[in-house]
Amino acid sequence: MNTVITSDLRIIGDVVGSGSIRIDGLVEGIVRGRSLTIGEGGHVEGRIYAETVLINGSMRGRVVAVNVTLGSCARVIGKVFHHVLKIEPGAVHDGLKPWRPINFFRSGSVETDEE
Amino acid sequence: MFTKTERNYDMKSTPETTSAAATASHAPAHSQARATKGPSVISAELKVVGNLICSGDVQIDGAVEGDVESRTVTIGEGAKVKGGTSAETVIISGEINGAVRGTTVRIARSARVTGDVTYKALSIEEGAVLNGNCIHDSKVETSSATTHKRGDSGHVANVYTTAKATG
Repeated sequence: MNTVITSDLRIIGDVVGSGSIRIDGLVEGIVRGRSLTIGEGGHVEGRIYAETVLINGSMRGRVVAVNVTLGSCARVIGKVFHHVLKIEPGAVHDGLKPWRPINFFRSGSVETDEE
Repeated sequence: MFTKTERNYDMKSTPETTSAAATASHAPAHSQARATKGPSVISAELKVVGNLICSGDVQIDGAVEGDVESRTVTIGEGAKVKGGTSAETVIISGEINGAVRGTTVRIARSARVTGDVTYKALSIEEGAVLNGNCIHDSKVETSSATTHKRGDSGHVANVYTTAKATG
């Protein structure tokens, strides 16, 4: 079963998994997973490391993922490291969107990249 | 450079204002991101290091290192919780290392509990492992999480006005 963080849940701390995570609540900390969705009303304050990220909620911090989609309701502040990026009309992003080769996400350089 | 004062978007106003116009033409990501009902689920392969605060129901099948406050907490078989658990109803089938507080506490046969259990109503199934004191309290005070409403903390509403990009 997939992880679901509903709107009435707050997690103050890190969330680490290897499956899919859906966040409709609030997470303050690092989120790691394969596939991550921030639903409308969901908020992440911290960092996201995943294969695929779909953001329709709000996010402050860094996103590091191969496939990133900013949905029409997305509000994102911070760097979005990506290999493939899709931004839908209506999304708001304040920050840089650095492209990186696929190896960047596979290697450990993700952790050390502080540029 | 841009001035910081211009960053005054209201994050809370998003769904009505922007989505209505945008979804008309572009639905894919939006439709996937509909809000879900039911309990929060921490799945088996997931580990949370930190505290969980919930005004609804939480089902834990993975690992949690930290405190859990909720209305209902269900700790599934194979789950591991290291920290205090406080809820109106606590149902334990997995492993807990820490204090348990609950108005109703149910310990199933597959459970392993190490820590004190404070309860108003307690049931322990045959086969359960319980190491700790069982303390009856007719007025168990569980967390404040049950009265917590999302947005009280102001995070969601205020990020955009107060924040600088941290990325």
